[in-house]
Amino acid sequence: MHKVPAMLLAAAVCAAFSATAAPFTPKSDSEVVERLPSTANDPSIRRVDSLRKQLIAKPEDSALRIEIARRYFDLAMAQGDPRYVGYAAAALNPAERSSAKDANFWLARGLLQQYSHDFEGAMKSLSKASELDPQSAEPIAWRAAIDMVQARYPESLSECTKLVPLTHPLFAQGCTAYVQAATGHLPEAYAALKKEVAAAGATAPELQLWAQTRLAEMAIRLGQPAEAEAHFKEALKLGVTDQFLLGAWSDFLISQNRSPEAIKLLADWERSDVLLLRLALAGKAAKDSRAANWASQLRERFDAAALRGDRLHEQEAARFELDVEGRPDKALAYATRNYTQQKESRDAEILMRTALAANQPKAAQPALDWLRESHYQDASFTKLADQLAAKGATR
Amino acid sequence: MKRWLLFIASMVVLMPAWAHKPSDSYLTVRAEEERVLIRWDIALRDLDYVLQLDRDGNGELTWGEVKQRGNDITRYAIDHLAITGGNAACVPAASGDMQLDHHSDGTYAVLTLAAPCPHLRSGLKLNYSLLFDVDPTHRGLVQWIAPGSASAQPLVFSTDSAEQGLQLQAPSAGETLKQYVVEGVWHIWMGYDHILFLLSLLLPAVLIRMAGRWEPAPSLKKSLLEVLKVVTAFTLAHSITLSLAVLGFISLPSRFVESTIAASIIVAALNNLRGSIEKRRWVMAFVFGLIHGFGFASALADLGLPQGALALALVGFNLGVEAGQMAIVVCFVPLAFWLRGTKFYLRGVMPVGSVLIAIVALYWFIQRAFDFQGPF
Repeated sequence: MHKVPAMLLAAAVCAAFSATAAPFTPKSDSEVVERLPSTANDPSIRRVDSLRKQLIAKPEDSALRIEIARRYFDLAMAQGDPRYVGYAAAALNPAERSSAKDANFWLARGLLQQYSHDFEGAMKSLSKASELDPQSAEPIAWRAAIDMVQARYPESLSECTKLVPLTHPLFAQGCTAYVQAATGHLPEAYAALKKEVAAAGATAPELQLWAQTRLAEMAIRLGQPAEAEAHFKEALKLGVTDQFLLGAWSDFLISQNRSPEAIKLLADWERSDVLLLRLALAGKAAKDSRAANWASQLRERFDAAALRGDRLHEQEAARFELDVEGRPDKALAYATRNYTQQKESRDAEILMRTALAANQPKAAQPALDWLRESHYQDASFTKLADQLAAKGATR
Repeated sequence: MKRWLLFIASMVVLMPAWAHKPSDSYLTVRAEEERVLIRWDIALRDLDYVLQLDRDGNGELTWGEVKQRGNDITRYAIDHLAITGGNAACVPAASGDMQLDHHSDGTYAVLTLAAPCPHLRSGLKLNYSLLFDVDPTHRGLVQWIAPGSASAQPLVFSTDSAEQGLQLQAPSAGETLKQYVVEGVWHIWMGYDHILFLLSLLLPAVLIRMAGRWEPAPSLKKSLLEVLKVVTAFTLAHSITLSLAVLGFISLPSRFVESTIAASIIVAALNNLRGSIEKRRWVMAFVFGLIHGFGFASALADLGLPQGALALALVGFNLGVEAGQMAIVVCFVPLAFWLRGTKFYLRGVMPVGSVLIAIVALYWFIQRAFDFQGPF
């Protein structure tokens, strides 16, 4: 199994370098050869550019470094561009010595670390941020999220509790409901969060979007597709562009045999890896003529990631290999490696599905153990677990 | 508002929703007797970030804007790549005009550099530092081609591995060959479909068809001749298509190939029951062998083919497949010959075994042809 990444790497190297065989010289000087990210008309890029210029004059200004890092991080979040995470790290790193007592420094560092999946380092940095500024909700919220990703539910719950006096009740309640929904209290968590959303009234649209998406996911797991659809529609009505919502909504559409709707929804989102994966899946299901093109674009991106040794996309890569390429063995190799780092329900699901498809039921054991110990409720998970158990895995 | 955005993101967007590729540059580094030749592709977007190529700030780079800064670009690049040959610096200089090329994430400047390096034989080192100061997630992806080597070795340069030695010894032809022979053997043993096809054809090799019934073959010589014909035809056929496919002359859709391989096993196994193709079994081995060759080719492609050592990989893999196949024949034939007169073989192995093989292959066929994910 460990051979797969090496093989992928070799194939990717050939692909990447053979694609670059013929350099050219443009015919005219006025030919536009590259379009840069919208420096001219994006005020947030202009702002951070001017901060960078200030930094050249005052390289010792740690507060400025931290601010630049945060701004680049926000840009990375908004535009999904990893270069900004790199720029943020470059701005932040030199501040380490002078900012050891600055909570903002440790928060910014923690954010960057979790983005590159250095969860252990991120937890340490975020704890340090909380030590220095116990009243700040942000580091606590991020720790709760990382604990969730790594399936440490009691820890996550205790972070959520700490949020209660520090933040909006809907967020604290949503945090708690999210953990409870993963640990055997799904119907109660769903009811409580629904009530809280109604009680909260008009709040920040981002917060409502987040709560509605969570509710939709819970409704799906409760086997109430009509309810789920209503939550998704509420979320979409808010008019906030959110890749996670689009991903969850299109997964739902695909699962309900409504792939053409998902394709229509995502038509302009080819540039996002996670949404391109949904396009490829929906395209395959709907036998869309563009499906092969989406699949090959995605293959190129996974190859490029393999080439530089990135391990950030393994869950998506597993889904791609299983559902688009139909290669369960490769998919299982990805899903297995992914599960050593990320243990959310989606990660467990893909591990079970690939193990089943590759006919290696025992490979799904970590996910089955998690399912048993967490009491996670989802009929489709139970079915997968039953099928795996029937083939010799321990339920 | 911003605070909310981050909280919310914290609960949902831990998956890296990258809409773009991270920053990489691509180098092909080749050593000759006394110099090092480099082709270096650097993203224009990255060059703009450090050198402000977009003079008019309109967000569009024209060829004129890039070309005008050609010297700066070359100098910036050279300043961030230190080559050492036998403890002496080998300083690269442009050896051709800057050009452009497209990669999956945009347009790249292509630099052609050469560095005189008289002592490279006593140890060659590369220190890469492009963009690390502004983007520590940047990577330099190097294809290193050692002197006299036909194939390239991939190296990744990052902030943690900015300096690396370049191995002067190319992986020898012998090593490459050995590696692919092993892969070939492995493939035929793990690819049960090829084994089952071969066994279906070999089961009746120790028998002869008389008056609509299978009887034990009278002599070992006759059986061996039959085995030889079948195995040679199969080998010849799959070698032909394996080579044609790997060299890029023909390609067939893998679903078709995989389904036909499954179908070939069904036909071969069922034929054992009726014996309709008795004399010309080698013809069947040849015809279906052609299809199995395509199957081998896609397995070989999955392994990754070394650039420049394609022929070696092809020969090695094929030799491996033949060796693996011979091992099966050598184990199976004496046993079958020994048992050929027994009821166990005539009434058991031959008919029941063939039916079982056909059932398994039928299942594969359904799975492959109709994309059916069954319980096995």
